[in-house]
Amino acid sequence: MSEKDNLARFEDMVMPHMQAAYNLARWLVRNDHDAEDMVQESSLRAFRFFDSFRGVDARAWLLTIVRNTCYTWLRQNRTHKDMLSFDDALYHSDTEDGAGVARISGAAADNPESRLLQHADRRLLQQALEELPVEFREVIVLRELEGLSYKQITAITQVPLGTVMSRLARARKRLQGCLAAGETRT
Amino acid sequence: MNCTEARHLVHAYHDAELGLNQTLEIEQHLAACPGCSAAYDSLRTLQSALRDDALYFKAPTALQRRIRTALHKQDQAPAEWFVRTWWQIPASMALASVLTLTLTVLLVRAPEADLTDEVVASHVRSLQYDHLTDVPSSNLHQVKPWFNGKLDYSPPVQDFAEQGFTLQGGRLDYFAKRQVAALAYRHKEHPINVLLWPAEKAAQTHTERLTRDGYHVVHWVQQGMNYWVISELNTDDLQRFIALLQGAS
Repeated sequence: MSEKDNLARFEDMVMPHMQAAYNLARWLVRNDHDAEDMVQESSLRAFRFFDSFRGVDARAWLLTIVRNTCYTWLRQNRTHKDMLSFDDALYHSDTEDGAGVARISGAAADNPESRLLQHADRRLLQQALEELPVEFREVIVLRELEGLSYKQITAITQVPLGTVMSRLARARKRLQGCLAAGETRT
Repeated sequence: MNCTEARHLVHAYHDAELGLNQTLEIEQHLAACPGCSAAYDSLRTLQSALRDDALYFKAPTALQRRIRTALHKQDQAPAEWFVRTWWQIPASMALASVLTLTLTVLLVRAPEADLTDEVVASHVRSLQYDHLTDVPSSNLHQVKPWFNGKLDYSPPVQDFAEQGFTLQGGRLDYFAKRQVAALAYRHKEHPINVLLWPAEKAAQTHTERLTRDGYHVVHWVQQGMNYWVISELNTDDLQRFIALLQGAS
């Protein structure tokens, strides 16, 4: 395949997934500047390896490269915050199924107060997700924000299906717990 | 199914990842169990909250431009320059026209043959273990919305279980240089794949029938959608399926 065809094919197949690449990178490295670097580096790497890509799922393929690039970066740039293990006690909730979540997306009245409330809850959710340990955060991002299948998530994260499913269940429980705890604190 | 099992499987059910049997089992349990049903609702609420637009980070427009520029730079190869120059070599008008015509004919014919080969390859690949569907469900109300956000169009999905052609599920596939929706059906023990994507022109076309490597391949355009159907199914049964697809919309 000529170089020109290769680039055209890359533009067709892979470039449409740049948004997904950025969203994943941003959630993994947690700041705009480094996320941009990760996406740029991943794209160049992807293009270099594109010749060998014969699959059908270009998005999952690109996200695998993005994820690996981000993990390498995280290993080298680990901050004190990342090292802290998630403190379960802080976010213990009596209701296993997260009563706090209902407030965010129930049928809310459209008045200034409820809009403020929704804004506060959204920030709570954003913070809760950001504070999840990275292996829990990534399955939530891949499943809930990107809508990827379990099969795709195992391919991207290179962990077994059982692990993906258990991380997802635990991550969801933690998020629901955070939100319920947030509700009782405010 | 008891509550312990249901609470464990409710995540996979919520994510449309359960097989048909387990889906039916858990649905029965949820219908009769308020506790587990609430757990399921909780997952839906959480997902709805996570799908908030504000939680999805958008790449700055400058980034995509920068990446494109970087890729184009990487792409400047001597071979390309040579190809461009070759066409500029002076030749008689006649010779140039003949060459252009031949090249055009080759280019026009090749894609058609390519597509038939491509659809056969795609069909065969899908028959490998666990490659058939990304969303395994006979419920068209689960399959159709699954494509939202994954494709830039909404494929029409029908179920013909009553007529003996059961929907098995859907998946994303790559075909004719784009992402397409693939629907998997089954008639008795024969798998049928239907690939569909928006057509450039809204016109109907006549139905083309071919055979390749023992598979029957049928394609047409209808109501703005390209349809490619492939199966090892015999022509009579396959024709009944085609008629259903063409009649139902």
